[in-house]
Amino acid sequence: MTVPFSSAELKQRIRWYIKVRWCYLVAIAVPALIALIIQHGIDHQVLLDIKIASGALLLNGVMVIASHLRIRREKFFEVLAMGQIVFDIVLMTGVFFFNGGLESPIAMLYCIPILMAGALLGPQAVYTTGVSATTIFVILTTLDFANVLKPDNIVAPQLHDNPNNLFPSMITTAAVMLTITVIADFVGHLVRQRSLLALELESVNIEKAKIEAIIKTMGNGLVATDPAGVITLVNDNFEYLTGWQRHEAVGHQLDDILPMLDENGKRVPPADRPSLHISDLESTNGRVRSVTHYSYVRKDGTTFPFTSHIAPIVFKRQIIGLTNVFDDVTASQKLDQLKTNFVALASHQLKTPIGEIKGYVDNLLYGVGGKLTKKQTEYLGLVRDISEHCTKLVTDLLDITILERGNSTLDLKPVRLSPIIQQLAHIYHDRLAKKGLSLHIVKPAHELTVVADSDKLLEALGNVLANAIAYSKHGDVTIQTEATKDFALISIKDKGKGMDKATVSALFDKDELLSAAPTAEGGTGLGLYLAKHLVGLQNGKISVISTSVKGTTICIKVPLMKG
Amino acid sequence: MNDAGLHSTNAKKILIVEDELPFTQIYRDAMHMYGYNVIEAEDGEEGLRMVKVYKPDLVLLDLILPKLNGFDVLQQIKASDELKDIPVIVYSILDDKPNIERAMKLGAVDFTFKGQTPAVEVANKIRAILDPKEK
Repeated sequence: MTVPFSSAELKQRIRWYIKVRWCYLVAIAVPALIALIIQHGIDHQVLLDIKIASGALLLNGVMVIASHLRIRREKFFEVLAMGQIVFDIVLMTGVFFFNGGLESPIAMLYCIPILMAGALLGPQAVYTTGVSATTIFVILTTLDFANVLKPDNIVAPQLHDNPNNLFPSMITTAAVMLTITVIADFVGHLVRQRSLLALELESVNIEKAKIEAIIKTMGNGLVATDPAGVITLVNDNFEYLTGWQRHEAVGHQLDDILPMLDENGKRVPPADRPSLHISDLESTNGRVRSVTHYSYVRKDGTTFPFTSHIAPIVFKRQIIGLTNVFDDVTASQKLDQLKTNFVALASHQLKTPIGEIKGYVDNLLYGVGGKLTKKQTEYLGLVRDISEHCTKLVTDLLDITILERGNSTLDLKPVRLSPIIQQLAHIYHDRLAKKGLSLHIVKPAHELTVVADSDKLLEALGNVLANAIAYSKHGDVTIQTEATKDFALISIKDKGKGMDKATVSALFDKDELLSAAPTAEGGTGLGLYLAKHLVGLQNGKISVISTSVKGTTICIKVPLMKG
Repeated sequence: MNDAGLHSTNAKKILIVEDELPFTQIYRDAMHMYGYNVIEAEDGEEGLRMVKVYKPDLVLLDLILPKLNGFDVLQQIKASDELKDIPVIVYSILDDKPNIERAMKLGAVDFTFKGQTPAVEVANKIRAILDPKEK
């Protein structure tokens, strides 16, 4: 038999069970013995009863102490509980047997608390105790009256005086014991359920207290609404950010309290508010939805740009409301703007002197300053290359800043691929020639038309090609175009030294790129990162296949025009 | 105003409107090599005034200028019946497409990137515009 509790409460319940049992034993055995002594004095029979009772008290007392030992293994407590159950069965059976069943009120007094205490451990313990004790009692009684058990008449003498009463008495006793068992289990069930409910309620209250603390201290504004858009809850920061007091907001339509403006400052009608669009959220499967580029209007009529995260409150598969956690992004937008302005300014300030250096050097190289020696031409050529590299770096940084702010303008149109590839080959012709590389163009069977921004696609491809050229020492670079069902795949393959996995994964991470040492090969290192952003903007994807033996292939996927 | 390099009365006059003096020098030297006369202005207002006074054969106009920016200068040149036929090459340090398109729409003959296209190549472009036969 296993004890039906495996929860963290197991030990506690077993301790109670054993302790309760011991207390009942003391409460009933001690007065019974005193009554016996007063009635009969200390004769042989009473001495035996005292010995048995003392033995039982002592044994159960040891179990009480054992149940309080700091033993971690649950198995130990299960064994203790089972020991107590066996002990109870023996005790119940003995008391009934020796006291003539129903004839003895003491037997009933034993029976009820034993079963009640067993109920603490669950139905298995109660039924095992009740049914086993009843069965053993019936067997022993039958054996006694069949004279199998010696010495004679160990069962209640009053029954032996009138053996005709035996059968009804035995049946009644068994029936009463089983009834008490069932009632004990039922009461135990109620007690267990109540304590379980109390525990659950406590944990719910703990969770509630936690959530209340989180809501109170969270740095964002929070507003919850019912499905009709009526505000049901706001937090302190909501009051701070919007100027509305809690009692003014709760119970009113969200759209009346917190009107929403679009990017052009026009009021968003309630039906179009993302935060009120339930059907829309149902289709998002209960996920959080982010809203940006809108503003809220405060109580005093001033506005603030916000970002918000909206999630449905789902109960029993039904949306019973929405939570909207929002934040005033005025400061971060300002900071972002400052950062962009700073980078733009710095780029401009850097581009001018670099351009001037290049201008002077170009003039010298074109002979404006007179004839140059071979060495002078060589040195000046190097200065020009370095200044061009610096310009590219500054341009890339500026482009990244614009892209990351997400406000670059995109002009998606049907674009034929082969002219773009031709243009690419033309632009990079000199650079390929300088390194002695040849360019192979593998065309698809049919002309492919993609949906892209031709300038940005050209820039992305250019960055990838420039990278391939920078890392190739010999051989050729291949540009292959092919089509899948929905995408055009443009692969740019070089026979350079390839890259390891870490390098590949770092390629598209700006922070890693900027922290890495400058590349000896002459790339700015930002090109592929920029390419990834540019391709992503055009709903495409970029991936890298690289082995140290075969070189690197970078594959750009751009959506094909439909139809 | 600086009228450095007015060597020949027959040579064609190029007005460079540029606030960064090193660039002025770079372009001036390249123009001189091609035999052009160069006059210079350091801001938009001065540039416009000199266009009116000297009526150069061609204007090399920076877009980012103090006082009056390059777009405004270009617009005013093209708005004047007297000046609108003077070809204007616009250039800028910022190579963004909207700026190029705007300048071309306003009537610039060409656009070039300051610091990228060598000054001598700009002079070549100018020769192609002013003396197409020599090309």
